[in-house]
Amino acid sequence: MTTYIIRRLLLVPVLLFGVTVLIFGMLQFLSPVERTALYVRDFPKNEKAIEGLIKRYGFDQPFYVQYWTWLVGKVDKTTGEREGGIVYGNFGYSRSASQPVAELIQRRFPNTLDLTIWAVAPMILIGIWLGVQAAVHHNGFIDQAARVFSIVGTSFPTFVFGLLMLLIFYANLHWFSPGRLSDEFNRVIESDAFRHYTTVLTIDALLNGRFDVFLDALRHMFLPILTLSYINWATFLRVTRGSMLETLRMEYVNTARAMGLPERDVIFKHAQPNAMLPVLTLAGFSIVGLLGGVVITETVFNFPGIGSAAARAATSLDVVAMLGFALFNGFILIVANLVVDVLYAFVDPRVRLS
Amino acid sequence: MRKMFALLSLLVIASMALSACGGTAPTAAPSTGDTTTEATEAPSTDTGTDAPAAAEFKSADPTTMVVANAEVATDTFDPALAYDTASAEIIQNTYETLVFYDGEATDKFVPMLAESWELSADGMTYTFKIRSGVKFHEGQDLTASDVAYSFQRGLLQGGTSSPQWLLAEPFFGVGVDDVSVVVDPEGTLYDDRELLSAFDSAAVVAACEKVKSAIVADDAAGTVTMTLAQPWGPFLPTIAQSWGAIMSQSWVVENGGWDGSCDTWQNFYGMASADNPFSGIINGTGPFTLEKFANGEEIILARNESYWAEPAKLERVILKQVPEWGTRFAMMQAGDADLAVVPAANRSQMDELVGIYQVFDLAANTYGPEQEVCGYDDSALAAAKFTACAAGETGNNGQFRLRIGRPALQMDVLLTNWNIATSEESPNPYIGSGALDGNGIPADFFSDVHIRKAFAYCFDFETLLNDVFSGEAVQSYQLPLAGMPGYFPDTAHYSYDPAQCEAEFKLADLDKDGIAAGDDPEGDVWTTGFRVQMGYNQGNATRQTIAEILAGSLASVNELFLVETLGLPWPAYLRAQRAKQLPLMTGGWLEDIHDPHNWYQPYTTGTYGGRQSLPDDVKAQFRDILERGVSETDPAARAEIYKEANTLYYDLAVGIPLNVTTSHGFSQRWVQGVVLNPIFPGNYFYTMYKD
Amino acid sequence: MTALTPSGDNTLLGQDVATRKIGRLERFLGPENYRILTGLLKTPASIGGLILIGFFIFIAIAAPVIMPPVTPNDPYKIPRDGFRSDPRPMGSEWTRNVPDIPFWYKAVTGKDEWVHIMGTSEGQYDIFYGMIWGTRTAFQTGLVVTFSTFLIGIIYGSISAYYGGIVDNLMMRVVDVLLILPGILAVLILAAVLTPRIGKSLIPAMAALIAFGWMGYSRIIRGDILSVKERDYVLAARVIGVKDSRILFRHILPNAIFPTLVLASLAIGDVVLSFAALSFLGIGTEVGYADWGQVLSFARNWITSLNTYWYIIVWPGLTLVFFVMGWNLVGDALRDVLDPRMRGKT
Repeated sequence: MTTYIIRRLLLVPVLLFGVTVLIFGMLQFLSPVERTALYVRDFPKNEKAIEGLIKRYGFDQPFYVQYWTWLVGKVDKTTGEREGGIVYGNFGYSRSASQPVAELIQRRFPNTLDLTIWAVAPMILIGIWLGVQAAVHHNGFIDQAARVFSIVGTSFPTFVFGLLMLLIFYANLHWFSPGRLSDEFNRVIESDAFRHYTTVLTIDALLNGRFDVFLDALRHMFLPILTLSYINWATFLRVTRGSMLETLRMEYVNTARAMGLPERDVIFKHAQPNAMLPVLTLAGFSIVGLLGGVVITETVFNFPGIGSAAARAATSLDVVAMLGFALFNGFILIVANLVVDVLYAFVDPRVRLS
Repeated sequence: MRKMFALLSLLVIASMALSACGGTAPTAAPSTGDTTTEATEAPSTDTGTDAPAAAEFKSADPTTMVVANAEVATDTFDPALAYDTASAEIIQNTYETLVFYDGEATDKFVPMLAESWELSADGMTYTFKIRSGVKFHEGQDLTASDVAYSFQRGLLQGGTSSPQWLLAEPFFGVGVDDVSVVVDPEGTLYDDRELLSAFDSAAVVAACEKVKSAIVADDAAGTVTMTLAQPWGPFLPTIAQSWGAIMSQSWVVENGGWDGSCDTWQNFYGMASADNPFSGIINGTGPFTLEKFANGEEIILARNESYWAEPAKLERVILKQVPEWGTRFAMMQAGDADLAVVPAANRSQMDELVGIYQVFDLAANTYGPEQEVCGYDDSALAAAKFTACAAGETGNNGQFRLRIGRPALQMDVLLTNWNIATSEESPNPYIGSGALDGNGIPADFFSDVHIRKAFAYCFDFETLLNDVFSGEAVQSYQLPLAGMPGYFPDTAHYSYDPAQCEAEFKLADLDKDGIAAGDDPEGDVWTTGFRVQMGYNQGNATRQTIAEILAGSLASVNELFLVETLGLPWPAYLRAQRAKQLPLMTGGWLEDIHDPHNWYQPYTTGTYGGRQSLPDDVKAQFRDILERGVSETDPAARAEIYKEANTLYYDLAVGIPLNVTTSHGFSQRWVQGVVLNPIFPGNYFYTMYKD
Repeated sequence: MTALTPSGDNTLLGQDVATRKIGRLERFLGPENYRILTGLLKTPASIGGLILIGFFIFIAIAAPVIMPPVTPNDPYKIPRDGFRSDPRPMGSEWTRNVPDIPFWYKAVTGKDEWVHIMGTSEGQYDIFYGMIWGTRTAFQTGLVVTFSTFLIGIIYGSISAYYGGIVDNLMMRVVDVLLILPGILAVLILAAVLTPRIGKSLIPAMAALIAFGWMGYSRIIRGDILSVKERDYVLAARVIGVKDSRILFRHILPNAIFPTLVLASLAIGDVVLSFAALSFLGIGTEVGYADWGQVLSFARNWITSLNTYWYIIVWPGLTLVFFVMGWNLVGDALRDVLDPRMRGKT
């Protein structure tokens, strides 16, 4: 187990290196002038400005020089100060967000984390619950209904579902609005009285005893949560159902039945725990996916998370920000996968033994 | 597994409670939705039913102005380097300049940080008397040397992406657009700090000395003297913009800026906004201070209580980034935002809710009286949508105020490329076969004046103005704008005329056999036809439509004439235009200063002239006119000079001026005191209040 | 004692062992494929799915007949009826860029002139035209992307598994790196970068979806091959001197590919979804190209007024949902049929 973890950890820098080289490589499709496009939002009034920007940011230099500069930074010959350099913890400046990348991630990630915390439970639990029901009542009405329901869910493009939710709950009913927080509560959390313990808004609101802020934050997250859940239930439903059906046909379940245990206990005490293993893996991957930011959902609901920032960076070809997000994402993914694997080993004795 | 069910039921209950909260919140909690209902109901119960209608519109928070922008993304707050309107808006509200615009006038100036000024008889030396008793936000006193330092710093920091070229020309002479050219007239040092530092140090110091001798402060007398390289008609407009704002020398030095020494200035030359210590902090003398700066989210300005004049009426101004139009619309409807950016495409949604409006009166050059709306017709265009109330009639009580009809200071011009770049190695993808065979155009297609005129006659201005701008634009007849020397309300211009278009095509001689296309037995453009692509930058719906209109009318004149519209992503568009590959394009220009020079320079000898590959002799003709124009200070004489430029531009059909849009701005009804000077980069909050 | 000689008469057996008539179709398709087919035709959901897919195939093929193109050299350009921004309601008059009247039009609508059947979207793009021709776009992107990813995945996975050792290790690390990039974001970056190179068209988005879509297949195939490698009969074959490559490429792959291919083809729905998402974010085809995601993105500015302009989101939304649902319904049934754990159960 330990050697396994060490091996995985050793792989981390290799993978991150691969990811950054890949992104850098993709950008080589663009000519220096095209890469300058991010720095000029409209045609510069002074024609010479583009040359200046190309020179200043070294876009005309070969691939490996640019990569190396990004990695270790550039020393200003006159002042001796080092600019940039990822190994010195300087992630650079995002033009699309007009702020340093590190600050951007720091500001956006707690929001994404908040959304993840609240979206995970309904997304996974309802999927599992429906899946178990569908398996227990195999080919019965519940099974068919749950499947149709979930298929419709997977068939909805996220943004169409999101737009429809906005149409109903925002434009018509005025129940839930997009964004992060209402203005009045924005003022509350910016006041000095509101202490930011964790920077995760809902948790901070509870710690400060401000239930109004807490509820307002939840109200703003309700539609994104609903959207994420509905579209993801289906996967959980399918995996749970399949796994459950398989388990229910195993010998030991039949034995339990034969011993006269009530069907309830057979299903929920004996079959379900074993059927949950593949679901656990899936849940792990889903959470990791959410932590990386959900591009479309955050964009549709104007939610200030990592995903919407990343979408913006990608569409405006903000190289520096894209690299920052990729590094961050890769890091989260690798660590989270590791955690999932270790947890898995604890849950499943077969993995532990091998 | 029981646990899971417990959890699940908890979750269901929680979500039910949540949705219940959501459902009842607008009535139970003081949430966003009901601020207006409260505000509108409260007075009516107090004052009874016969209260005047306007009294119903009260903001919940009368001292805070909330502005919902699509984007809150400033480049830098360093006045010397900021050259985007978002930054300039903040700078204009927090920093101050020597002179400022007189209300809504674009060409009259009032004292601001300068109490008075004098211009020497030769038109080359300005002496400004600096106001005393002015303090910066952080308490420093304003001195004459602060003023001189700010201008010196700006010129020396230079760089081609900054606005300093506007100041460099009056101080160093026409054509010298950056301080690096003063150091090395060869122009090898543009934007390159390393090369500049390595350059002959005597020349480097000399450039700085030159700047310092041109701008001299006398702290005892409280004056600053500026000596120009040549008489410069539009000098006051140039220093009234954000790049003429005054910073505190001691504060700049404290925060790691230039120390004022001629030995170190090169270390600050051509600075990028990301490395600039003054990109995110502000210490000006203006009526507002920067309270919060979260780029990409919001900017909060707070009232400067120790302002040298009467403090502003608003306590705070919040600029919020709200990217989705729908959300901004909802904020306006709920009264949560006082001002919002409304895309032209979505104006009709707001128009329906307008209760009071003002139409700009072109003749009087000011907005007309406020009128209540009594009728709304969505099939009409622009101001004609609204019917004003007759005396004694009560309006529709719509919640918004609309100001409409003022021409903007931005113009679109249809441009042709006289010598389209193409070569064996990189064949131009936008000109088809590159030959006159009906499947492309030759590279010199547009160097034939008849072709250019034919295109001009084939542009359907009517459709552009009515369909694209819903009647909220006027056709431009010339480059200068109304109110400038060189603007003539009626002058020779092109209008849509398919017969003329056909006649001009038949006069063209593209195979250069000396026989016009209409009579050419071997066939010419009229019989072969052509195929050309007109690119526009993706996302710019207006430019897309301009291309489609042109394509439609050309095809109706001769079905062999094929213009394909092509949306290019911004980077590709930038590259193609830089490489002079685009055969046809729409150019837009937003003026820096309200002066014809700022219009003719880019469209002939400058930026766009270059992209059009104008031949040297044409450029020389224009350069001659422009040099005479800019050094002349008498407006009437200048008008005559620019009239020559107008005629030349029209005769050669260098470009086809398309349109100037007219303003269409919304606010809540309670927003008062707005100064709508079109040259302002954004809102000027000092005079605003809510009532 | 009577000698036990086979009589050739098996009729008695029929009484003890249940037998089933094998139809001509079953004989033609083979038992496994026949089982898949009957499995598909048994559930109402998958029949519904097949009908939906059939319907869209019909529309795609008949597009020029249903909706004659206004610009025959570029039929994917949605005709604009003017340039104003406000959408116009269903049934409003069509005045500019009017298509020819097809034969069905009068009979179905009872009108002599074209109207905007589904209204127009922001910028006066005809929604109905976009839906009809967008069906072709959907099939094009879906088919090309799915089969390319599948092919690349199979080849890559087989090579990796075949060579094994350090080659396998390296090749799988490349897959790891590609998987670390968050899915849609990686596609977004590549498509955004390719667009200035290639130009606004279907290609950049398709290329990006292909580049980041094949890793799953390669992993599946590699896993299959590796597990088969350890099987007894492979060992036996190896002992008698049959080459590994022969075993893999002659016997294992062809058998493994078919069910995976069926599943892969059902990913068309997902591909169309991703493609629409890219269009929605503004990456993909040119403005005005007949593409469902594009038409949907026109609705973005009208969210708060959707009460009035509901048709600009409902029609394209429904079209897209039904298309994807068709594939998903069939896919769900197929997964059950193909799942070995479900075999024998109905």
